[in-house]
Amino acid sequence: MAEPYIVVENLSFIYPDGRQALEEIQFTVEEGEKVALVGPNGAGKSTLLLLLDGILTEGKRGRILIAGRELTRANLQAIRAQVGLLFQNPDDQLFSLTVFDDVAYGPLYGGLPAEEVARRVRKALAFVGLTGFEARMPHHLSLGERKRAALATILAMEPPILALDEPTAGLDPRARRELIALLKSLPCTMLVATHDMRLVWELCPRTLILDGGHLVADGPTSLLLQDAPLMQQHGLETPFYSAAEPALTAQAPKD
Amino acid sequence: MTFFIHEPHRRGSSPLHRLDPRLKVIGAVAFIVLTVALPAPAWGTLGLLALVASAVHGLARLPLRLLWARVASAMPFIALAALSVPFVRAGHILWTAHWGAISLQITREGLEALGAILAKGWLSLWMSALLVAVTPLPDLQRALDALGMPAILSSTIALMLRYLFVLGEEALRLQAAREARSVGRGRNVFWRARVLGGMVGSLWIRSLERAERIYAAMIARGYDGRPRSLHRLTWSKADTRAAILWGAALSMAAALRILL
Repeated sequence: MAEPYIVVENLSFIYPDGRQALEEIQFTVEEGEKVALVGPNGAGKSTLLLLLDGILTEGKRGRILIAGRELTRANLQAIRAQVGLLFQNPDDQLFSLTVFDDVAYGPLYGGLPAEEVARRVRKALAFVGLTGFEARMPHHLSLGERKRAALATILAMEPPILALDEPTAGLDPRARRELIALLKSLPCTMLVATHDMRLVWELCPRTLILDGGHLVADGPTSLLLQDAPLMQQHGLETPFYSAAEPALTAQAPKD
Repeated sequence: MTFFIHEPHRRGSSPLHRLDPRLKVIGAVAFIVLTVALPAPAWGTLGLLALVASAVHGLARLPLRLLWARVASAMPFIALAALSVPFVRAGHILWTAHWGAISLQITREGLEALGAILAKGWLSLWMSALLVAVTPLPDLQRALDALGMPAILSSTIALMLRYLFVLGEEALRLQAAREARSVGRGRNVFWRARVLGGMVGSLWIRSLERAERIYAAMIARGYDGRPRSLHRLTWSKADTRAAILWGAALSMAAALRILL
């Protein structure tokens, strides 16, 4: 059998202020797998995503391999092109003056010719349902639109791996449903850091639980999320509002 | 809760809105340079330039009050800088004041120079306000980029324009949070200054943290320190006609000054 797509080995991270964010994290992800990262605030979820994309480098110990290649200073750019990182706040991600410029940013820095950049932008915007928004300024968009535009900025780079930080945070129910449907339709390998347990239940067959920088559980979503004592112990909740909610149980994805 | 900050650009479909932004930038800069560089006395030429500005304003189909309010808000800075002119310019003395050993004199030439500075300031600001009112900010930035502004400066301007609104709205939220918790006018001016100082500091720290996240978002998408952009500006026949017309109008104003 081939080597797993993403390999994380003995990964630790200490912030410049001395705070230990992650300690001896170890897991692998197969190609096409959709994995949820859950845990209380400060558990290290966002830090893990930033490490996977090679954004945080100082203070890191351990190894990360993406598609068989180790993340080192030398191949940082190549790894970043493979991992599309969606930031929690779309205002951080959308830093250009127009939606077009922002979605074109990744492909442009990927060295693609102008026509290909334009084609990628059209395709990504059509995918997230924002065709016709090219000339708009990000601050004129609603939060739901900005979230989708931010997703388009990484889809335009056509990365095989998506690292998503709180993709549904702050969205109204309709925008949230639309985003979940979009994510489900993507064939990419995904790591999704979130507090949205229903998103986890619907999108990710596998869940990792982080708490205090430790990986405390790694298993099928259908098992972990129904384990109420485990969830409560790590400051989480099950996606069920009552014990008897058969409709949700029926939707659980299978491996 | 949403906070909205008005941006200078006004949506419209006037001939001016449709012109190439490079032409608009060059045209406005040429007008301002000519206005500022006119040697005194040039009241006739300034009057002609005011007519030119009015014509442009008419073409843009914008409310006069809106633009003049913007001009007026910037005038105090010019007035402050020009305030000493009537006292220091030599000439026919109109008025003298004595305070012991100190005496102040106002001259007719000084007053005239002050008037010229204010008129020139008004015209320059008016043209700038017109430029940004008929050009969307992204086009303005793209035009500066295409006209050879150093790429690092141009991307700094782009980031500033993008986050001006985000920060402005953050400031409004902070202000609303303060007002929601303060009844009446607060204690004294020092207390209020301290609250304001705290707000400015908090905004500053938030901006720093945001800057770090934005930089992370940039390098995540391959930023390598070298600004790149796609130019998508198209020059049309209408732009050529407008350029010739504008050149003729400004040349006439300059010629008038030389002839008079």
